[in-house]
Amino acid sequence: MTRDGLVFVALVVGVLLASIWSLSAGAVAIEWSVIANTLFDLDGPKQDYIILKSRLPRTVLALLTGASLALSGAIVQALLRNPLASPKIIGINSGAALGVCLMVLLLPSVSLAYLPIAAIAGGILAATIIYIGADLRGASPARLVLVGIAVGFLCDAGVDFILVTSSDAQFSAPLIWLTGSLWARGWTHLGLVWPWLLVCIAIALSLFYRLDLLRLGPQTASGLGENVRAARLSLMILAVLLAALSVSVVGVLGFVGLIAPHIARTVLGGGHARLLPCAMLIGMGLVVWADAIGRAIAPPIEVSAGIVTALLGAPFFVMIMITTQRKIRA
Amino acid sequence: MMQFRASGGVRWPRLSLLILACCLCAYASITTGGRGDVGFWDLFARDTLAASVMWDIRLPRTVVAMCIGVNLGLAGLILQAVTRNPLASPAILGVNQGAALGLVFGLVFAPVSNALGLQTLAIVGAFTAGFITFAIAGGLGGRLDGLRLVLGGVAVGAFAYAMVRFTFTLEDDLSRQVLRWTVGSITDVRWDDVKLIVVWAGGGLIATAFIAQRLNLMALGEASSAGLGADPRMTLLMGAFVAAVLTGTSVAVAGPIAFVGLVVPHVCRMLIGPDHRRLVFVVPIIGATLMMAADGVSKWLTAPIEIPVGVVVALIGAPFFLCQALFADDIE
Amino acid sequence: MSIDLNDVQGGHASFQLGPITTQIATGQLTALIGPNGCGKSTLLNMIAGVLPQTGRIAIGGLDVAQTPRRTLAKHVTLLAQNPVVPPAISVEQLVHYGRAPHQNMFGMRSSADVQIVGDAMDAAGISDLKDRKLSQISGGQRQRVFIAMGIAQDTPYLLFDEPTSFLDIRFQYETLDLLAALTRRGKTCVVVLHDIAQAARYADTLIVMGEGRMLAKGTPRDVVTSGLIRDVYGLKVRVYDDPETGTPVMTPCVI
Repeated sequence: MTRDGLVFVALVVGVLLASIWSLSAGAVAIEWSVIANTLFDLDGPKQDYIILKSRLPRTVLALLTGASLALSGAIVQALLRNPLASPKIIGINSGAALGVCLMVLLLPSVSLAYLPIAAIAGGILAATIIYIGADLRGASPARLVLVGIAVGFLCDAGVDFILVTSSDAQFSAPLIWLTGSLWARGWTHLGLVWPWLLVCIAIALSLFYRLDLLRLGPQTASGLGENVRAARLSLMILAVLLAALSVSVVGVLGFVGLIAPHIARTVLGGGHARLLPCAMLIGMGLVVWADAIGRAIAPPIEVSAGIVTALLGAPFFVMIMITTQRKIRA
Repeated sequence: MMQFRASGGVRWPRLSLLILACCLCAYASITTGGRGDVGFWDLFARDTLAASVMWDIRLPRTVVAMCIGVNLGLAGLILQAVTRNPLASPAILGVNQGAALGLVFGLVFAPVSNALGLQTLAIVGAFTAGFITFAIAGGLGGRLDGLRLVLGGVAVGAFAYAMVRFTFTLEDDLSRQVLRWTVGSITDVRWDDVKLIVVWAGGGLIATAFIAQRLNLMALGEASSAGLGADPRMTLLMGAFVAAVLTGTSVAVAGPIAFVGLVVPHVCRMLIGPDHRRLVFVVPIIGATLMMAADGVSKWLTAPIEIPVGVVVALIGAPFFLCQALFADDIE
Repeated sequence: MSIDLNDVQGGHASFQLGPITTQIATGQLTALIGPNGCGKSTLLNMIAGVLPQTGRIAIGGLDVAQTPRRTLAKHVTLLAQNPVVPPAISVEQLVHYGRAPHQNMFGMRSSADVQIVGDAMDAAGISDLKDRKLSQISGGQRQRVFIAMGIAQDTPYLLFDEPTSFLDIRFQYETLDLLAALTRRGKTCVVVLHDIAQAARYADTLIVMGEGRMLAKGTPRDVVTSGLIRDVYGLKVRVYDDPETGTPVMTPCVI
């Protein structure tokens, strides 16, 4: 089996193991035999409630959001031709935070169940403003990045302003929700997004060749028959949807969109035909792991997955530093 | 060093206008506040409560605002010069957030509680974050990529910020105070804090003036700069160190305040051109003006609630950055 | 069918090109020359349909502005001046991208594709590099890989923007020989070149540009005169015949 094949097998096994661990870890540690009994309806002790109602939907949601964030990040990195780009750059996270704060501020009577809608609306709106703004001046990667960062800062400033000028009691629940966590996410949450997420993930995976061609730069891609402007726009929309859908149910899971494609590129290299599935698997593993670690570290306290993924950022930066230097010396 | 005549002369009318603006903002900063009945002349009304408010609460606050403006403005100027990138600034390169992280680590984990120790930790944090961003952008290999610098800085800053928020949640959730601190606030500064920062503001100004000509030469590129006798690595190290000290001490007093380091050097360059030997003296003035004006606004805008000064600066600076991103012509 | 330029105008704030009206004949190698900033690259990119312009450009009867990109890409190949180089893909993979206009959206390779790519790599002399990553080969080799990609696209019209930059002198002439061979096979090549002598040696027609306008067009012998070089480039030269090929070569006069 080729090296690439081995990598994929290892990744799939890793994700499976992570998922099983996710089912077993937490305030109530559950043995694997019990998990098997519950899932496949065998004889023997089961844990129906915890597994089927709580951990299974949670794990599935973690897999889906991990996949979508990783793919969103891979698309953004290809569009901006820069391995340090991430969905954060296109304003999703900050826009979602602003959307949530605005909803709590302006419509305080609306129940918190509508937070996902505010988050997704805010994220999409911010990304739209960024794209239109950058497009007015040529939508080059550098321009998109800078406008994206600027709009992100603006949304952050807005969020800070709202938070410090109002009584923070009403904001504490939404803020905790926004910091990226799978806590108390169940089948209803999954039900909200799984069809859309699957569709977007499938479309993203099928567009691998377009990403390859766009990565050659606008002139060469045009020369090869690509309508660069249309392709950029549709891929941006796809990346925004993938990230926004994820944020809408689990909040902001930072760094997954940055780390997963980057690791995939370091490990595998080559065209997006292999990069996209690899990044997707890494993203799934990351989120499931982060969630499981958060539950296993100090039960019954749960550290939210968003914090664990942020902590993973540290060794990641070291990795980028090293690979950057190696590349320059090569 | 002070060859004003060689570079066209100091334009006194402009400079006087700037100094006038600075004084006006100082006045605004000192006269706004929670108690509307305390005014400027109460500074001289001895032994009254009003005088006490002015001397013990408002005056130190204004002085700190001024020093922060000086510090962060100069830090931004240096960072923009050594990275040859007009978008570099302590916040965008993650230096601000790194300082915050260093400080928070000290507060929560290490048994360090004296002011100098905390300042040192903030400086170490600032330097480390800057170093990581620099390395990610390829700086160690010699070729600094502008876009990677900004992207790397954003990532490092986001990471440090997440760590700051996380560390605070370990410490018994002081959420409201924490929030105000992490956006940058000078609400509770007193004379002790002034003593900490004034020294660094003065020292930073002198240090930056010393390396001003080196910063000018950096703009010519690594090879040319070396050819003219200013080793670029040395300039980089000196500049980075001064910038880290300036940023670290500001963050230790007031938390991370973003955009001062971005906006102020930009505005100054538009007013008096790119010569760092002159910028070194104008940047502190404009920086102090901006901060004191922001301080005044922060107390006045939604009185009696006070907006932390960092938020006010962000609400001015973020649109400025957006305009730069949209309309700057030299982005390919 | 020729490349027709009708009243082509365009540019941006600091640079205006045109109006230019001319025809570029098929089956020939046409070189665009001129001083830096004269607009030769801009014009080439307009012909390729990558840059916008008012006016009408038709390549073999296809209106560049109206034709869908994919259809156009089956007729015209563009090799841009500083193409983006994705470091982690292999030489063979890059050359295969040249087949993209002829493939479906998944880039599935037919046996014809594999054959054409192999021939293109042979023609460009890089077959032995086919499994190396782009980051592992030299600038000159990379340039030839991009030329192979252009050949693999298999179109009747080829546009090259300064294909000899970064190349050692031997490879410069090998590349130009390659373009000449393609022209002999019946392709139409339009090349932006920096070196006047090379352009004069290889081109059937020269177009001289200056400050966004077309200043001269004709065979090298007609166009490369000391008068024109003095007017366009500001240099006094003596023009004589290349002893190998008989095409015009110039040397600066001693003041």
